[in-house]
Amino acid sequence: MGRYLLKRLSQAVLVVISVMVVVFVVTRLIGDPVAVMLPLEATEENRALLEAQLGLDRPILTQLADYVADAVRFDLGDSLWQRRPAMDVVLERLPPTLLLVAAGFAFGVLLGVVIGVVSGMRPGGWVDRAAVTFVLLGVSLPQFWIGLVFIVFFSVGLGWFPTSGSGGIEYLVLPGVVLGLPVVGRIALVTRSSMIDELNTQHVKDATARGVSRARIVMVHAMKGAGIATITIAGWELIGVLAGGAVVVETVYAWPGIGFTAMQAIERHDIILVQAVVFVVAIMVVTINIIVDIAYTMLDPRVKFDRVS
Amino acid sequence: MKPASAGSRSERRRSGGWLMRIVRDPTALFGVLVLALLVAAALFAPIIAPLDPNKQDLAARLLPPFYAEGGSAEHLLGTDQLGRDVLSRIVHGARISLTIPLVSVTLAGVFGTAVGLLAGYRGGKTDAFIMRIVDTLFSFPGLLLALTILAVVGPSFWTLAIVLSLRIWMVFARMTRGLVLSAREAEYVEAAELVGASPVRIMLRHIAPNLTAPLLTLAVLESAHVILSEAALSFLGLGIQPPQMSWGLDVAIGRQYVFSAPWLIIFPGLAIAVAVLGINLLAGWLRVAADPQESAKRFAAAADAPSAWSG
Amino acid sequence: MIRSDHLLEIRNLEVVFPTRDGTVQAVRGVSLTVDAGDSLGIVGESGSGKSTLARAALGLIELPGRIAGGEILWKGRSLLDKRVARRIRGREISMVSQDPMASMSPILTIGTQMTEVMTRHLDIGSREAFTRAGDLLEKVGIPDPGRRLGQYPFEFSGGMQQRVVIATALSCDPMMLIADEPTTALDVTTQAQILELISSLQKDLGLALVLITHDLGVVAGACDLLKVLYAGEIVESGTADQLFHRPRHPYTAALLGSTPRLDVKADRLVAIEGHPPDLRQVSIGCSFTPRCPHATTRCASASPVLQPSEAGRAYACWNPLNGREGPGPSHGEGRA
Repeated sequence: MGRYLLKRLSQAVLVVISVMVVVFVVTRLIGDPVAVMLPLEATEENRALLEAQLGLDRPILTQLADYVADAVRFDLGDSLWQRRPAMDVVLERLPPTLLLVAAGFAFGVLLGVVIGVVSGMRPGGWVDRAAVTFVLLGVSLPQFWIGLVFIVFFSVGLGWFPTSGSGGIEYLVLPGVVLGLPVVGRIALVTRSSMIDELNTQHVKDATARGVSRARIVMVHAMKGAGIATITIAGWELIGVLAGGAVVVETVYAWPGIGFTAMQAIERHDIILVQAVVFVVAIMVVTINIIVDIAYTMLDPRVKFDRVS
Repeated sequence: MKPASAGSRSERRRSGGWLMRIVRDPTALFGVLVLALLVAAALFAPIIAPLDPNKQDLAARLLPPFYAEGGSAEHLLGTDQLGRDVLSRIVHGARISLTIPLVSVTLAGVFGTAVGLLAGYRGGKTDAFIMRIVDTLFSFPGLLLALTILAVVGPSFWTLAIVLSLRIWMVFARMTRGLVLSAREAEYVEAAELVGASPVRIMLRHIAPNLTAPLLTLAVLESAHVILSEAALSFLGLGIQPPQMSWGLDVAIGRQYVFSAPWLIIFPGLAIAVAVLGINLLAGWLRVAADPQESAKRFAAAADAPSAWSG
Repeated sequence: MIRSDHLLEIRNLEVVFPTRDGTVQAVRGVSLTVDAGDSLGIVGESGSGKSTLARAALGLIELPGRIAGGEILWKGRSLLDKRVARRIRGREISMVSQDPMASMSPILTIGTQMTEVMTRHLDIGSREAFTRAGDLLEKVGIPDPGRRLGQYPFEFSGGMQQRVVIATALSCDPMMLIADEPTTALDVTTQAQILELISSLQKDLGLALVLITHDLGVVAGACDLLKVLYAGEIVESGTADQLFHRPRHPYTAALLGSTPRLDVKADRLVAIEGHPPDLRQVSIGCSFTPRCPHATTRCASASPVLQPSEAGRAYACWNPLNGREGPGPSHGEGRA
């Protein structure tokens, strides 16, 4: 187990480094960072000055080595927009994002599992059909649009929630629900289909024949099996929420997290700050992957058996 | 005791009745109709659209849709802040919503399938190496990275299409590899290998037929994802750029008038939702239709719903 | 409550499975009774409806299957009533199925799966149930039960796992055990051990046993009474002695001819030619006609009814064998 974890950890570091290399290649080789960062009326001297300031006049491989070495020390340079270390800005904006992601993800997973289990128990019944329709809507509606429609309806129309910004719990409700909605859908679909599979297995049929109650079969036998399938998807969903949904939803609701910050940085051509956001998100993504892996091992005795022995 | 499947008879019935089966299934019918509407709108936009989508009419700015007070039949879904007809813009916007997924999914599908074939067929170290890269890419922070690339390279139709295909090709690679691996275990493929059939022949004759249905279903499903991603990126200002038209972009523009003219966001967003829902339904139906076991189950459930013997 | 003096009584049972290509008639008018302490063997090829019959006896026909007619009575109470069936399953009737590795959840421990039945049906707590589970494991011949209870099914061999399944089935002191092909998934030596175990447990506990198999060799030593099932119908029934020595139905004879036996020196085994009929089409005549060496025109046009004949046996055939063609002597020791 210890060795396995060590292996996963080194893989994780590799993933983060390769993300940073991709970002480096894109920004320095394909794009022209100086041209992006400078205002249109900038002179040749401005350009040279900025290049020297960013160290862009050095050989490309030296730049890459320095860049990776700095990133490993959590130093990604100063934000051009805020004129202070980009990591400071990101870490400052991280807690609101974590709060929003936690709320949205928890909402999505809880509701998704409930819907999936209930509809998977009687596939084809009216509850199942209603649930599948709702779930398909959840994964088909564009998040940014739902966000705006909710603002029109719940904030402007009914006045229940503030339109945007952050503060008390009332600010969290709309963005949390919008962020979690596609998660509800996909988690429900996976939970549903693995519930159906589980309930159709021979061991569930035989457990019924042995006289195990339906409730116990659903809650223990099927749900543990379905849970193992769902947890992998839940990990991907969390990654999707963090690296995708949060950017969109934070932008719609002007939620002061790292996603909104990334968009502001892009508008201000602050490539360094964007890189810092990508870096932090990449670290969180690989961490989630490892946590999912561990959870999976703990839930499925067959995997544990393989890895320990 | 499982009910035996009837060999040739049901086979014939299946191939003969594709169209009938779509028509009989309301979800599939909805999906096909949405897709047909999308294609028609994209192909014949200038004919279908009531007005020129870029024609400004400052006298007719922010007119509400026909049902609201002040709305008119001339602008069924109202006008935007420059007096452009919302309905006409939605019809023209179908072009991007169709071409972006077409290009991205084709690129991703061809590349991903090729990589998956290579990994699955070569096996061994090649396979391990390729799948390591694929796994690593799955751990990339997708949309955020796409935003970064688009911000640096500059958004355009082609950069958008390529960036979106970069996000999904791994899905095709992974599925193809899995299908190839399981197809190779089939006895007839082993037999063909034993008698010395060339790899290309085995690939084309024995393995490829097993790939088409699942990969097509995947392509349809991924098209829905690509439409949503394109809309989101365009909404964030890093996708389609004006004067090109995109539903996501229209929602972004309408956002400034969300309180006074909500129809500017409602209708383009609804167009995205209907298109994606239709494609998702079609993909779901395709998956069931391609799997005889699944469709037999559905039939049985539908034929015998009120039985007291459901356990 | 319908009057029935038997432990289990099945009357004219019809089970159907609707499919896209027509309705499969899996069980067609089967009647049988089981009394306390009986050992009944139900023999038939795959697709003869024998497993469906077994599941029906537990009130477990699942969609798309449906009971189209008949009655299943357990001590006079209808098992078609789901509430009755739920109380009786596992408590009074239990079941052992074909593949022991697939029979228990791979992700729950043996102990959990053994005790969950007991805590539901018997009025005992989980600690007591664990003790009892350990005793049961010991009884079915599994050493070190304490450690074994904490293990998962994949940590057992097939034979050992089948012992666990049997122990679980017996955990609530049932009156009847239905064993559906309990040895098919096991290797030959293990098969014999498991059969031995089932037989001895049946005698020790005074269980009624219903043993379902495609293999006459399996029922040879374990069952006193036999029913031969073909295409969802009972074509012959009687004591094991009668059927082994003087089969009257050609199908029974054919089954005997295709069973390897230790006690008969046969030069070769004779496979039954042809295939079981398509159960979606209702045949007018005897369903065995296409494969029957003795078939006449009458067989194809009219269906024979199960007719009682001498000493408790019955067969459904227009041209029964006179009995002398039956392959041979003693069956007692013969076990494949």
